[in-house]
Amino acid sequence: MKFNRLFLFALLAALTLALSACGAPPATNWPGISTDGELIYLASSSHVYIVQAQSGTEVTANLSGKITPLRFPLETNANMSFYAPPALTGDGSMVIGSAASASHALYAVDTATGNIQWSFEDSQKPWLGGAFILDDAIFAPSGDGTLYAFDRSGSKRWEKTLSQHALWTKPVSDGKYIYLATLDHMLYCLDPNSGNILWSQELDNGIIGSPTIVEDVLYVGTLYGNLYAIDSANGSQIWVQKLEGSIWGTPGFGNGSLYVGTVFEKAGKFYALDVATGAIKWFKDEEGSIVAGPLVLDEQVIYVTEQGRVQSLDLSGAPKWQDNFEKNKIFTTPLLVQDTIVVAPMGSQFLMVAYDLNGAQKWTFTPAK
Amino acid sequence: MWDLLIVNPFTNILLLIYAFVGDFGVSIILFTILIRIATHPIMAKQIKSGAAMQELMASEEWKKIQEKYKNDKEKLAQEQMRIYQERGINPFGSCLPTLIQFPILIGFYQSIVRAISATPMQMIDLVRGIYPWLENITPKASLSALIPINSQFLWMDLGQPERVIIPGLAFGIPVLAIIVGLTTFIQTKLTMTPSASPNDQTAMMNQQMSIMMPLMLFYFSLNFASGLAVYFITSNLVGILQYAALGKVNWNNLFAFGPKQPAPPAKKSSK
Repeated sequence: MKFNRLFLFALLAALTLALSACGAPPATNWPGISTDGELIYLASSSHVYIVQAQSGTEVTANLSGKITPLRFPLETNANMSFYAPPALTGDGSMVIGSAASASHALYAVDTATGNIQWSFEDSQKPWLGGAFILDDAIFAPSGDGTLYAFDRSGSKRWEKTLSQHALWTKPVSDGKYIYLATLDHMLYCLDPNSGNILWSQELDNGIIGSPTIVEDVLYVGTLYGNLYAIDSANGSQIWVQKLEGSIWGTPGFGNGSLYVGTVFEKAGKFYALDVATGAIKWFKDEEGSIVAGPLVLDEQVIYVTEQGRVQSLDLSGAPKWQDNFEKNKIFTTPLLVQDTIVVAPMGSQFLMVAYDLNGAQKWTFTPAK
Repeated sequence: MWDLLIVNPFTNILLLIYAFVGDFGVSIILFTILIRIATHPIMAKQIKSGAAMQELMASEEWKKIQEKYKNDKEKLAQEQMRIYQERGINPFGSCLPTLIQFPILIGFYQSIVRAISATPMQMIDLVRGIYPWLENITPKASLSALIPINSQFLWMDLGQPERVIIPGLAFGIPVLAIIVGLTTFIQTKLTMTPSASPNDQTAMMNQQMSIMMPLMLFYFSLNFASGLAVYFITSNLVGILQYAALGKVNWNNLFAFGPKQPAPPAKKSSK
């Protein structure tokens, strides 16, 4: 009987552990990354880190007489987690929402001190999509399916519920209007001043990646694998191209071509398409899925794969250089800061790795404990 | 392998039910009922084993060897094994079925979390795991029709821990978790096997179970996706019905507290 009792306790303890390990909140996602041209802002789970692009060292500040890594929050808070690319206002503030299910607020943070300038706590769900800054307004897509607009001081200007599901994509703008794609197949054009929907277009499947805007045309991919060219003036379809696999990332543009990767079971394909017609110029098979959008430079295009590969191709699709993190996954779009390419692998001993334009590793970033 | 054998099939069954009924909460309830029906033979065997063990422990022969070999653990174990063999009882018979249900619970929870996909990263696994032939059964089960899953059910988001916000209160009330605790308590009490002696270890263990299990499941429901709480509540209610159908519900136990309360005799099953 004693054995039975021990067995029962062990069973319940194991059940607790197993359930905790297999899905306890907060849910995780890949890191979000952004730059002001000099510093890199990395949202990776418990903190947003601020890192020097040239050296890979974490920015520090003298706070209360003590040199402290300048991160948000300064001390780990179990009720906060961050995955959206931080939005930078250009005047020393950073806007980012917490993805934690227990406490989900949108924060404006002073990047010089790490102090919260204002917070918005009315969202019913966590924040996973990045906020977008246009002029003096902040547009933040929330997990409760609502797009919120604020002024710089945090006063809410308007809110517009666009989906029954969470909004995951970052809004984009052509300087006049706001465009937002949703998981329930919709692409919206909104008036930034009022939040009124100017037009909407239903596509064939869910949209995870933000659209890319090139000369009044929106390019956006769906989980079905269709890449659409949509007229930004009225939402009409210019062309559509079916690719093999599903499209998760934001298409990249450069030199008259669109570049996009796909998820095809556990593998992927990387495509270059003619921007005017959608015709496939070339494609490359990949062993790993390509979830993130590519980074398009003047003479090369760089993409990352779920199998941990960083691959650079020239504009004809020929390999230039590559790096591999075989035990890690990469889901975040690479970032160019000055002449440094920054990649954020998951599950690695470091949170970021930087390369020069020839693929030589410059630095890695591991946060100080 | 775990994904292939447990999580993916569970997720696809859940999604297929969702495609037909159009409500994820109802899908969880229906799938839970399916699981309970599928595991009914295991449960019935568990009840039978438990009853046989209780009968054995109340027997004179068992009591005698306990007394006779109380200072010789090795000999006692040998004698116990002999009696088990003679009576054809598997001492683990009441534990093994629980062990079999263990992966079902974990797999089911994972499939709920996966289907709801609270983040893009979770959705990668969902998109990969949906069987392509599912849409041959109904077009509503195509990837395009299924995604995104509407995780709203009644007042709750099935992908998040549930709280009811009452204006003026600084914290949310975990209504679902409380219902889970209550139904688990009621189920444990109703289905508790009566002990021959209220002060023996079985009685004490039963008492501990009737407190510990509700607390444990309350904790799970408090912290994990509320879809799991819907599963627990449905499972508890269906479990009570199953025990009732087998004639094993002991209604007198519901208001009996403390190991010293005399437990009423078990009803004989007519089946």
